Amino acid sequence: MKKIDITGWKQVFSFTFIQTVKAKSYISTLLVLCAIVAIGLPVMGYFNAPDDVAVEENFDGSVVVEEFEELNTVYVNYDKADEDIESKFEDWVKEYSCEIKYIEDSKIEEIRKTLNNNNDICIVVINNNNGVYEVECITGWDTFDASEEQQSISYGIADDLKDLQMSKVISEDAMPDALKEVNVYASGEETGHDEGFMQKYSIWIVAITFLTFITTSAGTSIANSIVVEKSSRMVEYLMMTIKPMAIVFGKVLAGLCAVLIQFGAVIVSGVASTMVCSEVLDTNISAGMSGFISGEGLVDLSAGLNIGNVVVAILIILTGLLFFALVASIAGATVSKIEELNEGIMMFSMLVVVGAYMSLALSMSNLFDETGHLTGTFAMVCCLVPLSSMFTVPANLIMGSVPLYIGIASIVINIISIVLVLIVTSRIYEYMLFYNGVTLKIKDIIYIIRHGRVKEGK
Amino acid sequence: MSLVVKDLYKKYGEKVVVNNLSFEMKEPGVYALLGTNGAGKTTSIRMILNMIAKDGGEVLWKGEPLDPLKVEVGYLAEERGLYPKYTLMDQLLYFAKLKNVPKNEAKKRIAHWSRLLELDEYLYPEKFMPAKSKKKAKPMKAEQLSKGNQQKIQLMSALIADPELLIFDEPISGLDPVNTDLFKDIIRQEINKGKYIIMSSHQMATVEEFCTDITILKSGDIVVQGNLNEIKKGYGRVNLEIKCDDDFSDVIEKFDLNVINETPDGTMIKVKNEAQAREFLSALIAGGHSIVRFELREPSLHEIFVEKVGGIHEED
Repeated sequence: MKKIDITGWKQVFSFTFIQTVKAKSYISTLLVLCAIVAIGLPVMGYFNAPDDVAVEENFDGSVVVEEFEELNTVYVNYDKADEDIESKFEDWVKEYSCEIKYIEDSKIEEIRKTLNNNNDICIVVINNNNGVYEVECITGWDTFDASEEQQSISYGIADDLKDLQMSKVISEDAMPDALKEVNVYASGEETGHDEGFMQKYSIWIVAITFLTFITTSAGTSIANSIVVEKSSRMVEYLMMTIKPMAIVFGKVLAGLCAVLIQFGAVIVSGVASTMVCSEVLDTNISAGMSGFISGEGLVDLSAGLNIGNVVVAILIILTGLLFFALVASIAGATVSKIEELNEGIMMFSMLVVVGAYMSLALSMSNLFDETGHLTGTFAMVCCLVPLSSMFTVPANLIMGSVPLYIGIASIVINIISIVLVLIVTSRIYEYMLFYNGVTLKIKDIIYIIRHGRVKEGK
Repeated sequence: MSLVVKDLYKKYGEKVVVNNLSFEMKEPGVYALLGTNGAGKTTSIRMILNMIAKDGGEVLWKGEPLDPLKVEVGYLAEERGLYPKYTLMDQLLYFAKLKNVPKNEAKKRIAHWSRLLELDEYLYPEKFMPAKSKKKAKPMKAEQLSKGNQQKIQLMSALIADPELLIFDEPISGLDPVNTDLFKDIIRQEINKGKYIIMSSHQMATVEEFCTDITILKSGDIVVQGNLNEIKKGYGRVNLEIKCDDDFSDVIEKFDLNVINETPDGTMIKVKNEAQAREFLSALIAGGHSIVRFELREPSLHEIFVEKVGGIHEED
């Protein structure tokens, strides 16, 4: 293996980058993408915005969505409340420092969703089912046991209701078995777990799609610039002053930065237009947008949202993109004419698809353990192999489904792969410099790496 | 000894494309690498420039192995290379930057060469616009230029760092006579500045005009090498160019001479030596032929070239 020497890459980088972002095609693509997102996202968000007003009306103005996350809130079934229960309200407010709110049957599920994946919040719902009280303690979807404090509220209320029931039994001469009908549920919901998975799955798919799009765009652009350089014989002049590795590195980084800026601008335009539209239309479009992406906020998607995870996630994306960009540069180096680029880039596209599909397969397999972490050999492979790690790890790091050390291991493996691919790419680039034959296959590339020349007859 | 090329060797598979090429440039001047297409000239140049790996041999510049990454070398490749979509000025500044020429200095040099090569119209289009439209002048891109003008830009990029060693691979192929003269003037200027120039060309007249030493390659092998004048002297004055007002074919038949070329301007005859030429002249005078021109000279480089490498075509 040759010594790594990338002296001069900065000149290549700055020239290539400036020329790329100055190009009309780049600017027009940027403007079109920004326009699509700036218009499309607010429209999408508008139609998916939550119906806040309806909730407030049903709850007699006392309950709003944001306040669902209060601890010690007791919701009493709106339709089935009776004077007996209301007589207890004052005692409960004093004893448990809780707030009493009425709620409809149809809204219970909605409240339940807002609590998913949050262990600190609990609601107690009281139902009067034909004179039989039910007390249900609802917690986050991945918490199968309510906390002591939460349970104490539930059991305390249940005890009071039992007393109430007892008095009714005595007064109405009811059967003693009715006492058993005062039940306390203090568990998570199985259906909530499945819905939570679907939400994670949705976010993951969005991440895979977005990253695949960026990777393909950057890769195609880089491969194209390398073919242009080869076909215009520019590389012959460049190699007079800098090493092939520096040329490759500079070009790849420039192409990558140009594409990242393009997508960064697209994201900024989307967020900005959403915020502006929210203000102008007085509608919670951003909530609608996140609802559209996440499937109505079933789980806490920010369980792993902290500085460490964010930095690691960004580094995985950057190193992953760099890895794929270098693979794209190999694709560019294997062809001699711009019209052969599609043929040459097949190998790159295949690798992107393989990586994305590995991650996609993992996302569909629901390989989460009871703590919500990805588990199993396939999950580990997807997290560590450079082809799939970029599509798998960042989204799951932020959602709290992958521990930080896996992310760090993924970065290390990505960096090692980048160095190896850079050496191979520059070697191919150097030997392919004056090659004008047919597009090379993978076995031909391996031959060049091993023998330092193109196979005879090519 | 400034440039020493020693036993340069390259083979692709079993085919030897450059077989122990050696030459030296002791002082500034122009050295010619000649040969038919596929003789190994460009491969030799690329090996000298470290662009492709050598299978043998070495290249020394002032006693040290030549590394174009460390030594300024100007190169004009056979296949011209410019980014078609980028502006000319950007590309020239990029080349200058790669060769560590400061931006301001690079701009001065670009202006200098632009004037000499008559490229101001393309590099500074605003100068040629009416005062009101100056701001609308768009920088020219390489794809907007003719092949000859692209070649000039390429020459500028080779000269922009003012290198001591220049390598020109087919520098004037495809140029019109005006631009050919322009290029020749610049080559002359560089020679006068004391530059070392290696030139590969198929235009023998140009090579004869500039080169002191030559190597002719045939299928990678050296077939002729040395000082051009000495090579010619070695052949002797055997080319007789003669023009008579009347028909002198009877004298040619009598001496059994080989006519190389016959044009309205005269007849070129190959003689064995100067003595035979003198006998031929005596016979023409004795025969009463009206001689307009009689010139005995050494063979041209073109003739030497054809004689030495022509066999390759016969073999094919």
